[in-house]
This record gives sequence, C-alpha cells and structure tokens, in this order.
Amino acid sequence: MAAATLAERSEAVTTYALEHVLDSSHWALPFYNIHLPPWLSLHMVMLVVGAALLSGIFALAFRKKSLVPHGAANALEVMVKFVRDGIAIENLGEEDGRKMAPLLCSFFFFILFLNLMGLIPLFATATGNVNVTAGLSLITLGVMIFGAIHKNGLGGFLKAFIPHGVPWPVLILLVPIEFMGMFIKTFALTIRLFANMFAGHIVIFSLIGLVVTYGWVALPAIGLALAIYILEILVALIQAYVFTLLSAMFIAQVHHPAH
Amino acid sequence: MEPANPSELQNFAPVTFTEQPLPAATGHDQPNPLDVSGSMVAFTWLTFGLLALVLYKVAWKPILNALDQRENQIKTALEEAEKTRAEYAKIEEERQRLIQQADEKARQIVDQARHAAIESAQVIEAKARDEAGILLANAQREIRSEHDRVIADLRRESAELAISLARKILADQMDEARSRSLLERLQEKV
Repeated sequence: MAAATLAERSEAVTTYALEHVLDSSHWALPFYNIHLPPWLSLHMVMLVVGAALLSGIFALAFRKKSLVPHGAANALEVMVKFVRDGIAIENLGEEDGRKMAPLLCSFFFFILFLNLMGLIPLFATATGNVNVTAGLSLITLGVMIFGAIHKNGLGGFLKAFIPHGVPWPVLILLVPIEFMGMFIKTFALTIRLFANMFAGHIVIFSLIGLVVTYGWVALPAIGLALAIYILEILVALIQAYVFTLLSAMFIAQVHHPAH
Repeated sequence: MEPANPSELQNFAPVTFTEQPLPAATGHDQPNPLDVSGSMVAFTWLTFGLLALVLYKVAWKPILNALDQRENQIKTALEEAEKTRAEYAKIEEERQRLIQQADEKARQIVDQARHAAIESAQVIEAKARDEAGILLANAQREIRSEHDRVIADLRRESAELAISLARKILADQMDEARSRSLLERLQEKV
C-alpha cells in the first residue's frame, strides 16, 4: 500500500465506502465473509435481523404482564405512549389516532432500529437503501389512499383533492397539483430518510478516508468522524420520529380533508 | 497505513481529483445508490408486514391496552377520591349542622330550666311567706288567747282573793254596810 499513489488510495477509499454503504451480496464478519444466496442481499438480512431483534426485545421486556412496568418495559412504554399521544392522537384525533397507533409504532421502532443498527459495526444500514425507504413510504401511501377510501368512500377520497372556496378555473390547476402532491409527499418521505442515513455514513467514511488517503496529518479527522457519529445517533432518532410524524400528518390530511 | 510522502502531500485533494477523475465517473461498474429494486421493496413489505403483525400481538396490543387500563384506573380513582371528598364535605356540613342544632337545643333547655327554677323559687318563696304569715297569725292568736285567759284567771283569782280577804275581814269585824262600801271601792280599784 505504501507504494500506492494518492489517486489509487482515494479510489480505494471511495470503493470501500460505497461498498459499505450500498447493498451487497455478502456479509463481512470478522474472520468470516458470509456469501449470501442470489435472492438475498445484505440489506434484506438487516431487515430480518432488525425485525427479529425488535420482536425479541419487546417480547422479552413485556413477558411479564404487570400494571406498572419496570426497567426496559417502562422505557419502551414511554416511547410507545409518546408515539400514540404525541404523534398518532395529536395528528389523527382520538379515534383514528388510537387505530393508527400500532402502525405508527411499528414504523417508528422499525426505522429507529434499522437506523441505529447502521451505527453498530458488523451491521449495515438498511434505511440507507432507497428501496427500503420506498417500501416503507409506499405503505404510508397505501394507508393514505385505501384508508381514506375505506373511511370516506371513493367520492369522499376524491373530494379531498378539491380545496374549499376556490373558483373553478383555479381548480383545473389545483386538483392535479393536489393529486400529485400525495405522491410527491411519499417520494419526499422516501428520499428524506434514505438521504439522511446514506449521507451520514458517507460523511463518516469520507472523514476516516482522509486518514487513509493522506496519512497521519489527517488524524484530527477521526475526532470529526466521532462527532459526526454522535450526531448520527441523534439523526437516527430524529429521522425515525420525522418519518412517523410525517406519515401521521399525511394520513390525517387525506383522512380528514376538512382540516 | 504508511504516511503519504511529502511530494504527494503537496498535491491536495482538489488537484489530484482534477488530474485523475474518480473511478465512479470513469465508467467503472460502480453500483448506483438510487438503483431501483422491486424485490427489495417487496422484501421490505414482507418484513415490515410480519414485524407489524408480531409486534401487534407481542407489544402494541398489550402495551396500549395496559396504558388504557391504567389511565382508566387512575381516572376512576381520581373520580372516586373527588366523590369521597364531596361526601366527606357533606357529612362535615351535616355534622356542623347537628352540633349547632344540639347547641341551640341545649341552650334552650338551660334557659327553660333557669326559667323554671326562677319560677319555682318564686312559688316556693311565696308559699313560704304565706305559711310564715299563717304561723305568725296563729302564734299571735294563741298569744292573745293565752293573754286573755291569763287575765281572766288573774281576775278570777284576785276576785277569789278579795272575797277570801273580805270574808276574813268580815269575819273579823266589819258590818255589812261598811264592808260593802269597802268592797265596791276595792272592786273599782281592780
């Protein structure tokens, strides 16, 4: 490596960073490289691992049923209560909020776990894959559309795209925009989560890559990388919250068009 | 990792990158982060769907039910406490009312008793006065009658004494005429 030129090293860093952020066909563990079958990718494994971990933690924390929870169950319950009261009921109202709370709780904890797993060595960030975030936000879109049709009927759902008190010539312009808005919101939801998780990891890899490329002189970059890593923990929480909150808001906008 | 040699350090990143573009830009077979993969989306749905189902059973339903149950319990407990407090206040009010009533009644009874005592004292006094009057009158009457009787006795005894004296005198010396005049004088004196 000592003989490698700066360009070669920077290329190696780029390849290494992208390999670690993008989906791959093998799971690199210390001393062992698991080659995944062609129908399975690393991010798929991460989804399954995340889901299993999440189920396991909740099953373990709530194995004993008591009126007043203790320890981990208490902490998880506070978060569940926050999602129900602070996100679901706050945006969707008492009745719909209670109905949507399980879905929004699933969103919040699944995304939070996938985000945080990306910060633990050996694991990859499934939420840094645009297809995963697209899958999740398409679920929101499905709930928006089919939930509204189920709740308000097809007519009621379509009426949500016609704003009140607007002269009809303007509607020709507004209705398509409103309709497209629904898909744009979903797209924004996809990109926001993906880009935040993807970019955070790229930044960390780039800062560490500086040391690889330029040697010891770039050592202070490790401190910066650590700072970004800590920031990433915050971002993992915030993005899980934002995705859940925006899903609740978007669903509420279509389900209660009067607002 | 070996430190870069000084000649390379002079070439900073921008220079290097312009001289020799990144491999991604040169058409290497780098994967694109925005590659769309239907299977990945479907797999996300599958995982999320299963997870949501499992968590609904394991976590959301019991947690949310427990939350509701606890909230209801707390609400009921608070309502009950409020009800108990209201009841206690009512009881306290009733107690105060009863105490006041009892107080008033006691005062009335004491007043009545005082009045009755005064009245009966007056009656007793009047009766005592009457009795004393009667006793006094009786005593006076007795004294008077005793006085009269003593006077009559005295009179009779003095008359008898006079008669016996006269008889003695007469028997001694006196004629009848003289003795009569003497007797009359004596009688008058008495």
